[in-house]
Amino acid sequence: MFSLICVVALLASCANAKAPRTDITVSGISSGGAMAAQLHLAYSSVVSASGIVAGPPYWCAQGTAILAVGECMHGPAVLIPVSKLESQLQTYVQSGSADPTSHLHNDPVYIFTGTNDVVVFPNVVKLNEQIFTTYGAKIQTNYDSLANHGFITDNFGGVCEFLNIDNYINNW
Amino acid sequence: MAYAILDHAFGNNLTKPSATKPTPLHGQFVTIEQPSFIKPEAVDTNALQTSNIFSYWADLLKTATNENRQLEKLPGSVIDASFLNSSGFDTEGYVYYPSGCAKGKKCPIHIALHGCLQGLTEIFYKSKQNK
Repeated sequence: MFSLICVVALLASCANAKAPRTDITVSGISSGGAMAAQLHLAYSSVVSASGIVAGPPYWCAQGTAILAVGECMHGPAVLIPVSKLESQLQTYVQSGSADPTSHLHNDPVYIFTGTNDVVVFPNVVKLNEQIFTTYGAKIQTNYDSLANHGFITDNFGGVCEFLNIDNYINNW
Repeated sequence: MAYAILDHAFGNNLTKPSATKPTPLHGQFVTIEQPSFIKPEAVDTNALQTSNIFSYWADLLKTATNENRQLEKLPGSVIDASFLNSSGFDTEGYVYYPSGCAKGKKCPIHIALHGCLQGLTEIFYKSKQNK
């Protein structure tokens, strides 16, 4: 986790160079999707957009491995306390370890989950939409593909409905 | 979907690639050694004559060269193998410079993160098994 934070800091330094607001964007799949959401929410003054592919919402695991591999993958999503996750972010903002959430206003966020995902269930992934909506992000969702847990492409990868553990890429 | 994500992030003004033909990659792939990222505080910034190691690396990574680089060792790398294993962080990462961002032109950075069991070690191992 620390290592990823270092990457953010590296990228953060790029933003100082009079760059357009597309200067630093982030995306990720699965646990990388959770990390992408976390990077965007925590470092919103330097990360201006994110793509969350089949990943659980911010602070879902609340620091526990049991939740990380339990509810945060298979739900049920109704047991994931979104308002608690959001208030945790506010706590971090107040203590100065996360950027003010006002930076998230109008930031593009793309959220994907496939209807056949057996690894991180669609209703869990969709909670990202609730959280980013709270902060006024510009959200585009892609929830209708028949994909399993993977990154979909137009011309490469395994059959869409099946879990492709070779590379987690599905040909949609 | 990579297009859809980036197009949304960049304000819907990107050119859509062909859906049937693979997009030719005219740019430059560079492998970078990642261990420096794990322990940036251990880097000797005096030796590199920089006060901010992150902006130093960022500047380096944002600039493609005309040379055909295969492996980029980030200056200041402090490799501690035991630490690396416990972090779950792979030794290598990849940077792709599109052709329009070559020759010293600096472009925005998009960072793409993989998930659990999707790192170089797992994917490479599985592809080898299937061959």
